[in-house]
Amino acid sequence: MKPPLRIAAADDEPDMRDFYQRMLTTMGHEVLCAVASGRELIERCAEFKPDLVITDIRMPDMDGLEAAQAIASELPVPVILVSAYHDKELIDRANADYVMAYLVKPIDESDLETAISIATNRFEQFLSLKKEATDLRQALADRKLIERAKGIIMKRAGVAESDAFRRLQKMSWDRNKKLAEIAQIIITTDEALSPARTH
Amino acid sequence: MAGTSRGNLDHPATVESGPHSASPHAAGDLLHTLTGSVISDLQVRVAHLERELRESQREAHAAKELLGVAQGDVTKYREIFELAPDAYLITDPNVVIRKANWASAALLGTSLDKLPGTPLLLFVPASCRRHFRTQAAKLHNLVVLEPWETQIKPRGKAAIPVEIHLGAIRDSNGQLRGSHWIIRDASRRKEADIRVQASQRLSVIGEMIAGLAHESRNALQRSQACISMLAVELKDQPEPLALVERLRNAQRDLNRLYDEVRQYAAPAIVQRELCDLRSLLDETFANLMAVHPDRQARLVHVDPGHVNKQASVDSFAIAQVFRNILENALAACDDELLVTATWREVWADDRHRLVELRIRDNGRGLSEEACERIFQPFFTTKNQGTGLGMAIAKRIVEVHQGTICVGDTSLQGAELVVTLPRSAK
Repeated sequence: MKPPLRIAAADDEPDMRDFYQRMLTTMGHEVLCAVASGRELIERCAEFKPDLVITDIRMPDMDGLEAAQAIASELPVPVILVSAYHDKELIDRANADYVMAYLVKPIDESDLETAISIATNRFEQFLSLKKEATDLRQALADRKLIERAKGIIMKRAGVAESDAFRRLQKMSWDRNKKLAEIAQIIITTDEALSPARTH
Repeated sequence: MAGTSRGNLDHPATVESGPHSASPHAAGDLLHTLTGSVISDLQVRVAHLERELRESQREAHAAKELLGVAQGDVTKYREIFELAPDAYLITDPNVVIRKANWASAALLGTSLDKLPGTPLLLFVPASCRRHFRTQAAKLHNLVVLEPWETQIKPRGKAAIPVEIHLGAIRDSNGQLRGSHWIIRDASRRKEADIRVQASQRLSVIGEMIAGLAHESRNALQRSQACISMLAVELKDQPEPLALVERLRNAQRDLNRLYDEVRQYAAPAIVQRELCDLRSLLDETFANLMAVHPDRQARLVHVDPGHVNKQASVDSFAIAQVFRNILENALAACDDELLVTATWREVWADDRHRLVELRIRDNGRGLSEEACERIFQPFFTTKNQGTGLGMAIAKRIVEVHQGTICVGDTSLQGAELVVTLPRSAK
């Protein structure tokens, strides 16, 4: 059983707000709010930081897509859109990475349950992929720094590449710092002491 | 004229060499002088007359040519009158036909020689005569009448709608001598008008229905939401809950009906991509069977010619055509359902080849009525069906420039024949 979710919902129809309130609760989730407009949804999301946003598209004052965009720019949250319309323009606009599902009305609780389950799973995958991508990017940047530091040691101390790397490793262990941090220190020092820079 | 001309030229010479010229007397001389003066005067006049004569000869010649042209025009106009596609008639002031063309005889359902002397009113249905007389009488004060619509009853036939153009013929004193009539058969135009109106109406209804089906989504959603909430409220009460379940079923049917109407009425947009029709049929069949795990069915392909089944189609839409056909087969047959897909290649014309797919089931087959009405919206033989499945299929196939029809009915089961072009023309 998945942990219950803290959900924010928006729809301009009172029946639908009632539906979300009751049905999501029945499914074991916590409904933080069920509001009637995009603006209200943004306010409540800023306040409650929900795990999931379910919103209608066409609403008075601000539409659901606009609200979802504003919310997602503040905190990573999966969004499920529920609309009676699915014209090309709306679908194109909904094609953002935080939109995890687009349901066309009329829907019932089983549609909602499936969509929630898929949306949250996908979002987790999405987040972990995103994290993985960030880690990889960091690893690549670290690797570059280490290569440069190794080159400096080889030149200044006149040692072979394997020795230069071993020196780096030892410094990292001795000082209890990451390899990349040590590499950065060496690069900065080298820059400071380099004749081209001093004159 | 040449003779006259020569006579005039000879005249002075005759005078000069006349008997007087031989006389040597003074009187004779005077006479001679006088005569000479008269003669020279006459010569001038003659020359002048000759000029005038030549002038008038030229004029006469020109006039003759003009007359010839005018006569040619008259012939031309007569031809136009006689062969005009519209009925053209000339009547006297009492609206008795004097002249008529072939088209009049055809329109009035009689022979051309019988028309002169016949009152035109005889061809006007009794109900229209009063108005007809009033219109004709207006010519006493007017030159041309606004065209008007009435009816003409040809001999031995039913009355037809016509449009009449009427103009007055007057003599130089302005006295009404008769009138000319152009009578145009308006029945074909009327039919076309009605067709245009009907198709306009249909397209408006189509848009309206599509809009209605679309706009109904919000209301359907609210009703759906309330049914769901009611079910939760009644979860410990089996009897009312059974009612809610029935409500839910009705709601589901309504959703489906609206969905199908929407599909049928929505503008067809084809997003073509290259796909294998056989794989598409297999996939559709497998998906359908997944929804009906309790049923037993098989799909076999007959493809002796190893037809190339790659086609550029909207795979989603064509899958729907297949699904609708297969769903009908499933509903019409007992287990085990056997669907036979026979593939063939046919030539649409010199250049375009089509893929022909015959889908046959092993059920009861189609009744004569079903064959006729299968593609008609809302025609259904199923207990639970909107009757739009085949209508939608036809629409999709036709948007792809293909055809769909009922196949051979002499064999067992129902057969639908779908032909699709490989690519858009």
